[in-house]
Amino acid sequence: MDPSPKKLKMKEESSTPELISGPNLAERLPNEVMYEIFRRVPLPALTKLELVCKHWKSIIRYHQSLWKESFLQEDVAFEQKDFCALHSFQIVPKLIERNGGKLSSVFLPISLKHVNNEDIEAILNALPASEVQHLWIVMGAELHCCHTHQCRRRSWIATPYKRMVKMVIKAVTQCSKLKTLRLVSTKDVSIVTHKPKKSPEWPLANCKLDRLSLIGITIGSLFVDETMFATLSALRTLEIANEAETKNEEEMAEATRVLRALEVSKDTLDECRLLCSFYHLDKAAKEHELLRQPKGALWFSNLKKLTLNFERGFSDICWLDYSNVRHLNLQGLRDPTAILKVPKAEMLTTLQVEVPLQVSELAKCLEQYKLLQHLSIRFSVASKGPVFFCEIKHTLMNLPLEELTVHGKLEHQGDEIVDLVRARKSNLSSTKIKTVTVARCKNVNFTNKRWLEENVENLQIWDWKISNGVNRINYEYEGLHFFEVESSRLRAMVDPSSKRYS
Amino acid sequence: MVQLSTSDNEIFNVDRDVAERSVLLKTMLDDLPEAEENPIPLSNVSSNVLKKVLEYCAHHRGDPAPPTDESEESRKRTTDIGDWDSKFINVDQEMLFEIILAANYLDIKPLLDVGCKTVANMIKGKTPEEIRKLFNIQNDFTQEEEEQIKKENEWAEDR
Repeated sequence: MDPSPKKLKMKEESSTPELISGPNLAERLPNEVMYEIFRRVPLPALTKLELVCKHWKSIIRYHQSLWKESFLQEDVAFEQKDFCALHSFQIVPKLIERNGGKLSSVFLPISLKHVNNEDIEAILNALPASEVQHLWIVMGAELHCCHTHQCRRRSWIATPYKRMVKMVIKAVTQCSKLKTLRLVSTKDVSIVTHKPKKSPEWPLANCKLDRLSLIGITIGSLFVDETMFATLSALRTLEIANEAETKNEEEMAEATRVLRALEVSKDTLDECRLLCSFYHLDKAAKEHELLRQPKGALWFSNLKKLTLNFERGFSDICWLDYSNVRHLNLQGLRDPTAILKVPKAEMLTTLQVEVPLQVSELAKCLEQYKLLQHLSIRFSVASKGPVFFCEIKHTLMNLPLEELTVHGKLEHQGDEIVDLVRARKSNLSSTKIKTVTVARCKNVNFTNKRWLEENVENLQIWDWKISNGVNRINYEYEGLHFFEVESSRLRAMVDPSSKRYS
Repeated sequence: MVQLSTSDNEIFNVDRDVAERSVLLKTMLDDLPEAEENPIPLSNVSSNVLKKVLEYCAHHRGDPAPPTDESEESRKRTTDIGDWDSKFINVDQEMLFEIILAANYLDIKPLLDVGCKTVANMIKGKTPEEIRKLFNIQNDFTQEEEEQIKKENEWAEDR
């Protein structure tokens, strides 16, 4: 560093520092500092920086990891729905190349209508050698594309889709360094069980996974024998979602595998999301030796977040002990009384629940959770007529609530929410509600909206008509907000916890 | 109290916990007990820069130590800079670079991060020509070389 920097003419202007004349930045800052700056620049801009001067280009090309890191930054952009599946697909091989053949994190959306088999195959073949650790593949007939690409769009037929799923699964089994694995298929056709040959010596069998997500892909496609389940012994996040129904014996086999996955990971599991046939899961649990004993249950010692989606039938899952759970998300409840049959989680601080119309049962249910701070109620789209918010208002008064989200069906009852917040504010013994979100409520009618705005730190009201906001909130609810989906898959993973209303 | 001596021979008296925001100073103070009695010479830092750096250290004196491992969480894009930090770093370009250099030398990671983010934010929306102008950099590429790079980078261009 130059101990006596030349004094320069300086102009202080608005908020951005501006230099009129001065020494070359690239010469003043050491390479390691330039690297620190470059790694904070997103990918498209990074390529522009190469054009500035030879010195910059040499730094950027020398630090191969810059490419990897900008990719991770892109990954965040995907989650913000600001991405194009085709572009993301095309940059993966380039990133591997720039990064010297290795890439620790790969996000690969495969949009069948936009890409051809040769390209898919080339990328999948390169994956095992790239020593990828975090792999996230999203398959779909037509994923979100910005439509500025010149690409051929082929018509969608089932056969190439199934072939693609097989190719992906084969590539995954050849990866030996995986820590997180997320496979998402947006077409129900992929549910058709892909049966690999018996007892393979897969490199994947030696991995210790931290996270496993199989959405629209059966466990049976990957976990063909007992050795594979050893990969789950340190698992912290498990997501299983399968909507389509298959033959009874296949459902039973799959349910047994789900149960086995839960059993292997029960001591380490921190977060779990399940959408499967609970009818078959219950049946498999009854046949399971451990669970047949009196009061036998799978006890999750570390499980903090649990999401259960009962789209495919309700179960009280009494063989599952999740009394330590803090964060419970119940979806797809059709029968209003079902909510009372769910085992109590006494430590619960966050409850997200999708319920049918009758709220009296909900009120009874809520009374059990004395520690509840965050409550999100989503009234089923299918239910007709208005909900009477006043029925649960009394119960809500007695909980230590800080956050309240109401989604749907709250017609003409905005003032009920205002009353609740006001009553809690004047009652010194109750906590102050800091965050209120009202979404997709037609004619919600707040006569005193101003008061609410002034007294709630974070207030969001998404009108029925504001389609952008509603779409966004829907994406957020579904937890699949990073791409567009055209099927009922939209309901596969429901995760209001990822909501960010901005 | 710790004494720091700048390149222009000014002496600063600093509380130890403030000085220890700098990993370099912390190591010195831990390893050399006599460092507490004599002023530590910082021949690379001038008094006006050190004043600014110490302002940062004093404001963040109570902060928990930053994680040493470069986990993925910390690497992901956060161009956000805290309110106080963004006011603090709203300085002319000369001072900005001096702060970055000092943060690098004194090993104050959070301050280096704020400085680098600020520069990254300055350059990321700009064309190569605008960047050259901003930092007074000479374009040393030939037309052909420029075309070649553009071609190589086509795949990552803005959609």
